[in-house]
Amino acid sequence: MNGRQPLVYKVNKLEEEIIWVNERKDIVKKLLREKIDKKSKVRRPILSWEWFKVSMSLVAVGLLCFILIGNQANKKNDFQEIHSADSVYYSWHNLEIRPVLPPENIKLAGFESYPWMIKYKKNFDLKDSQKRASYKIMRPSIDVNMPLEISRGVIEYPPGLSAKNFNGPLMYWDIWHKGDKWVYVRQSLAEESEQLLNKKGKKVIWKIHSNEKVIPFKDKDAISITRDLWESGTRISMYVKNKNKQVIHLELTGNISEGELMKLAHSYLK
Amino acid sequence: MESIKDQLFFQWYEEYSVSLLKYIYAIVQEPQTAEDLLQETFLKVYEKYDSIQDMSKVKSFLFRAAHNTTMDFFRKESKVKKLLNVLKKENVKYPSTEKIVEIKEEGRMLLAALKRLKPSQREVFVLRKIKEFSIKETAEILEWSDAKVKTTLHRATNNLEKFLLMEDETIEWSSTVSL
Repeated sequence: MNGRQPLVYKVNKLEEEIIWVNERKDIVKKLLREKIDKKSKVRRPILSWEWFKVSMSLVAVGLLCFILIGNQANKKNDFQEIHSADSVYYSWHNLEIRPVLPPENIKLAGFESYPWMIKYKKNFDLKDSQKRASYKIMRPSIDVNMPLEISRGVIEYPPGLSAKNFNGPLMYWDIWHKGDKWVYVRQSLAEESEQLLNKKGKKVIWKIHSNEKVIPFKDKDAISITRDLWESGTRISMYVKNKNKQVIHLELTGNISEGELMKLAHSYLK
Repeated sequence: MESIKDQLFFQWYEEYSVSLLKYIYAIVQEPQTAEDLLQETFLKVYEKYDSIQDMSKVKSFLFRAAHNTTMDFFRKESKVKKLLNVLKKENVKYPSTEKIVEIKEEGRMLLAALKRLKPSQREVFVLRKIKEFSIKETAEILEWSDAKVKTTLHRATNNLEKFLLMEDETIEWSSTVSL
């Protein structure tokens, strides 16, 4: 009558109905252990063509490393500090910076006089500027932690030309201002870009004053020359190489501390 | 001294070998073959130890290895090979079937009915109904879809009930005749 019992009952019992004789488990375990031991003792002979494969792989890896290191070296800042017998000078691409001139005493005009200086400038229009400018305007993120606020951005067109008729490189201005603190940021495509980057061309020599210092940027292909303007503040002139291998000239002038100005310069680069 | 790998491996053997043997036996129904396949399964698992990513799914991994080994056995066992194996086995002193696996009378009937199922139906039935794996786990072990597991299991159950009913009728008929 067992056959009449429901299938579920029979199935549940089947697991108990099959009995693997106890000692067999240990015998199989012993056999397994022997086979595993035997396998681990047998060392696979390395064929000569395998050696060839291994050495070829090593050569390929070596080549790859060489190419990668080469690329990385090329990507590095091209800035060089050259020590000669009597002085130290610097080079960046084709630009040579020599410290030869005495300090220059410049008195900056006050913040109120700048709007007059930019009378040919129009209110900032990023879309328009991006269409027309032959370089990409660099702007810091607005939430940059500064003791200043951006008061306006303007594009400068040459006098007598309307925005529609002008297709050349634009001069772009940002004005940072709060109370008696102010910074003017000017950027444009460096006119001498071609010369700066073309090593076959004439060497461009930039003579720096004794109140100026050269600061390279490690994470960008850029250099900066910081000028101490005493009571008038500080000016940072920067050359930045962009993706199109053009050089953008970025200049920050303001009466804030050098550290804050440098921070702002870094945020423009980012 | 035994490595951590070996320790863990033999721990799995202690824990799962009986269950795996019963599973393989229910599919192939030859005690010596079931033991051979169990050994082969564990050797494969040892070789592929490094590919086990999720230690919490070792049971499923072992059953999948057992399934693959059993299926390979069915595929490779050509008639000629079977004959060669028989001849080979004749020269080797294997313990008799009774000394490897013991089956109680009730189990024999169900096993006989299981044997009449297609291997795929037999496997899905054993995994789901005897080993009590979920549909998802069974699908993972057999590398099938959930839907295929469900439909094959449905067919297997129907066929099994049919075969068992036929067995019952045969028994009843023979007992009637003997009276």
